[in-house]
Amino acid sequence: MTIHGNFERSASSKNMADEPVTSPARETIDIDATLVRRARSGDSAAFGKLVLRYQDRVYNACYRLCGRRDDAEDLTQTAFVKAYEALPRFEAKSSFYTWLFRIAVNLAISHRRSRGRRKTISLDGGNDDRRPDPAAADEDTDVAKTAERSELREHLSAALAELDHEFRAVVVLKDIENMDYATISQVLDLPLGTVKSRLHRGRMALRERLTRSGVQL
Amino acid sequence: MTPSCEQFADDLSAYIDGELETDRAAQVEQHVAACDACRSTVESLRRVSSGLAELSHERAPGHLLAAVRREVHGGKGEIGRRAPGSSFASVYQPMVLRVIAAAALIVIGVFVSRSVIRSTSPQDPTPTVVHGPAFEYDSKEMPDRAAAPREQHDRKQEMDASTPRMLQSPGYLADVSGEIHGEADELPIDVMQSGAELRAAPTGGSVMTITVAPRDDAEYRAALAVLAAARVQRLGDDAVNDYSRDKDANLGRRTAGLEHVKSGRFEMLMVSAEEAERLIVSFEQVAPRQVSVEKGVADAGVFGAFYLAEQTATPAARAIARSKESTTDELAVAGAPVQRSLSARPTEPRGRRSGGVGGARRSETPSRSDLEEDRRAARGLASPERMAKSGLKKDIAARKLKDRSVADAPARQQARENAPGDRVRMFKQTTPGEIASRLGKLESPRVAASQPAPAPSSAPTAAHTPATSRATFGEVRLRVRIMPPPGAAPGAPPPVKADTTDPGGK
Repeated sequence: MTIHGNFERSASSKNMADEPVTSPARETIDIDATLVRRARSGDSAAFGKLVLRYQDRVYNACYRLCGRRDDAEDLTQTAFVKAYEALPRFEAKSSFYTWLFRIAVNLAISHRRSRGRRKTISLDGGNDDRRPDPAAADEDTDVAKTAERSELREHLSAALAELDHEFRAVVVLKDIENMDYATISQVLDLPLGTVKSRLHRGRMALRERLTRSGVQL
Repeated sequence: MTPSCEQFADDLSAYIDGELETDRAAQVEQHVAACDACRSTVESLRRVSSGLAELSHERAPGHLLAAVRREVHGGKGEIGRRAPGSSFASVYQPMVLRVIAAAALIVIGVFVSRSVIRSTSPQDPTPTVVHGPAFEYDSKEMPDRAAAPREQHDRKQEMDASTPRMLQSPGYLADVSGEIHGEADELPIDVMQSGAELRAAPTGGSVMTITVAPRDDAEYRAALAVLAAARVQRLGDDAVNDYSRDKDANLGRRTAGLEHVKSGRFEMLMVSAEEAERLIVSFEQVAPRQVSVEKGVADAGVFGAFYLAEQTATPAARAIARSKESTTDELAVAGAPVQRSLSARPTEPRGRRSGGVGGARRSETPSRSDLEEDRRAARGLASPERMAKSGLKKDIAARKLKDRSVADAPARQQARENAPGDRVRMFKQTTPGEIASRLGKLESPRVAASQPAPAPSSAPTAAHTPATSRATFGEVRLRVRIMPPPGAAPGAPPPVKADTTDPGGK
């Protein structure tokens, strides 16, 4: 269909020409490539640097995908180990960042499937999007300003945890990891049109859940 | 004729994401403007999207890298392969020898670092401030800031000019640990003179000052929140050593550091190198282009090299440890524009028995007998209890005893009982002959002294400071300064540090 065709061309050309901020910057890719090259040649520190560069993002994505911190830690660790082991086979067709996320997201999705879609709505026991630290919570409460936004986050966090994984992965990569459609397409190995439709359906599902929960949107 | 809503429904998300082609986006926009239902949907989708973006970003646990290392190499604590045939590695392989080696290397580190100190003027306590404006692979492109000592009024300008580049370049992160790892060949290190700011690093390792100059209240609060969530530890806290054993157990203490920053004061914090890196990135995320970082290597950079050689077995760290050069020296050797060797320790009264740690307590030119004494002392370090009893080099003995607390006790016992020969061999492997030649190299005056000595009152000289005795290798002594935003509301903490300007203000 023309709409999808246009869309696909649009996203591709965007990525190539305009370097949207949501895809890894050229500089990032270059430095990653250098670190990968060094790591492949046996420079042990280089891979450590790659871990440090991406551990938070991978961990956060895994956490939002699987809903549990301990699982997220295991998944992140496994993702890096797998990446390390697969490094000799890494072909620079995509960026390291994309490749790493692909490993991590696939692990998280498999993990969730293996748990038989046992729901972990609570995201570690609470239906809130809890803060890691009380002191940070104080500050963040100030930043958040309104209880309304806090409530929205709380419900969003729970609704996200209930979302089917295929929608959830796209939503997490887009709205939490701030990837563009082209990058998501690479990470999930999906056509752009599928990314687009899943994202829309995922967001609509979240919207519906929030509305059902009485959240004013 | 107006197209029906169904024709646009699937494009609404792509529309708000800016992922539609221009023509299509215009069509959707036109429809949304005319259709209340679709406009409402777009607005609610935007709220969903922005709400998701506001969800807390979870951070990986601090031990993740170590866990990955362990898993990759089955508990050997490294990522990557050991250099084949590396004698250093072969000595370090067995656990028993690792423990012995750690202690022996520390001894040698003290020995060598003292010689490093001797190689600089004792009147020059100014730490080398190593500023990493960018991690670029062609060091020729580096701005020649080393040639012109940084002026304080240049701070804001410098932040504008170099900080974005520094922090936009993720390679900077590598810079932070790269310094410790000794990968000097790829580090465009800039050297500045900023004695007051980093003087307070009493022992080896990295020192760093992070200055955040938020532009508005939101950035300011966000920066405070970043610090609140950081796993930092006040230097001098009793648990500093515990921190190295069990970081998570001490997380509660981080709020103490936060309180000091809230009150607008500098505070020395003890963090892991990884945490320091993450802090920089986090600050940059909440206050883009408003973060400056100054880095230095305390005088006993060799400790860091040994520590990391032992912990990570990186080739670069091994190389440094093998050659027994401090990290600072390594940078100079590698051609980075390091202008002065670093002595961050308080200048102490001269004299053999004046106490203190390492430091410039000996005559400036080491005599042959000095070297011999050091060798004898280093051999004696195999028994710290004996050293402590003898009253000689108490600080070194204390350091070793402390270091033991981190190591595995049964392994130590086994080492004492079964491997005295190994201990000696280890020591011999790393000291004879080479040390003397190294000393000769280090003695060559590389740097002219220009900074006055710190006031004795601010740097206790009779004995080593508590902070010194508690210092832990391989971590970063970090100063975090979060400036109040311009036009801050009354009650906001003022900048306190008298010898620095407000980077965000003027």
